[in-house]
Amino acid sequence: MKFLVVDDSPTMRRIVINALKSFGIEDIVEAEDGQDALAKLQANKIDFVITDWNMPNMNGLDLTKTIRASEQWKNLPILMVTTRGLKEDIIQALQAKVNNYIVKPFTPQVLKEKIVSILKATEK
Amino acid sequence: MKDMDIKGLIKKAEELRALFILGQRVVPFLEELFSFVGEIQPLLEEINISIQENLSKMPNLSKQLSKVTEATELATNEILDIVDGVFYKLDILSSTLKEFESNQLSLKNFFDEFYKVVEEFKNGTLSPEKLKQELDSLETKSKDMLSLDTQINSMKEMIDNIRTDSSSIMLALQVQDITSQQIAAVNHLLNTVQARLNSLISKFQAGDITKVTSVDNQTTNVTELHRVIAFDPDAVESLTANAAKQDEIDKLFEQQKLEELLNPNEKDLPESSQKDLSEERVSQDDIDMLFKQNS
Repeated sequence: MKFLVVDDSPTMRRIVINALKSFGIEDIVEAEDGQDALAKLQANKIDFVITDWNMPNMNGLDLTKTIRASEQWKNLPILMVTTRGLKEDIIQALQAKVNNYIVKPFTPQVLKEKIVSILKATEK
Repeated sequence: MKDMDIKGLIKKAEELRALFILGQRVVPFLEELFSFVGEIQPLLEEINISIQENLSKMPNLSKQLSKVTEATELATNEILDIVDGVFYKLDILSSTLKEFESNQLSLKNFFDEFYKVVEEFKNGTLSPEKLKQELDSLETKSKDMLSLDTQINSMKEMIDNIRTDSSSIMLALQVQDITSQQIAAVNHLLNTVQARLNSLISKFQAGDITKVTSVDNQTTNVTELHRVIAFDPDAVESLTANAAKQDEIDKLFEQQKLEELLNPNEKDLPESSQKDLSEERVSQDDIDMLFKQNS
């Protein structure tokens, strides 16, 4: 299973990747913003996207909308990991059809739970 | 007397004439001055508004930076505490390992002895009394071997603890992303203030006071530090808001807000609800509940 980790902060990408590796997930691709993520999606067969919201060039919300609008990737699991914790933001994310949402700072345990829950839901 | 009156009158008339001449010269200057004040008034008003706006932002900047320092300090202390704990656990692990190594040597000696007894028994060189004696001795030694399990379990537990500590460090390090967003927000605001003041000064210097236009507010929350950083201006709030737990969800459940929010037929929320939405931060548990309802 190939994961795409999208965050403009190299520190956060590293933290997420370390957590994924601790779950036994080794096949990981990185992207630093939404545009870069779209390029990586084109170039790789990605099975799961973990994205930040606040990013230059293209933010995580627009990335989600673009993915959902695409025939090829519309069912791709997307987990949003962000500092934005306002209900208004979460409703926007829901409307953009992200599969789940984590507020930073998060524990690796929470990340794992969300990934498992998304994968279970998308398997159905 | 009459002569003196006339002279005085002439003098007064000359003074009056001089006054009129001065008035003639001063009036255009005064007109110019009034016109200048009239023209400069919008600029002065803009400067005044700008200074007021920028001054009102300054305490907020200071508060934001203060929160960054506080968050960094907390995270650093948390990491230091965890690292202290890890060192302590490593000391325990190291001493347990030493005990284990010594027990492992005992285990080797036990088996050496055991094989020797078996060999002697096979060769028939061991009398039944001697065999019983040897077996009793081995039984006693084997009981000591039981502590190996305890030691292994203790080491496993310690390794798990250190793993948990590493996760906690990872959690604490996320503060770097959060505080960098906050600093980016402050930097963005400072740049905006600087650009605004520069624009006013350049207008003033150029004498271009007829066209007073506002500087466009930047809508994208992106700023350039050592790299381009997109930011959430309230990022640092996530550190405290995340602490809110189950009681928030229960409250939300009671209020039955979730269904209202997610009901597509009620997209136009009342103003009061929209205000609530924009101001209320939610915990991870609330978010889980929202997504559960939506799935």
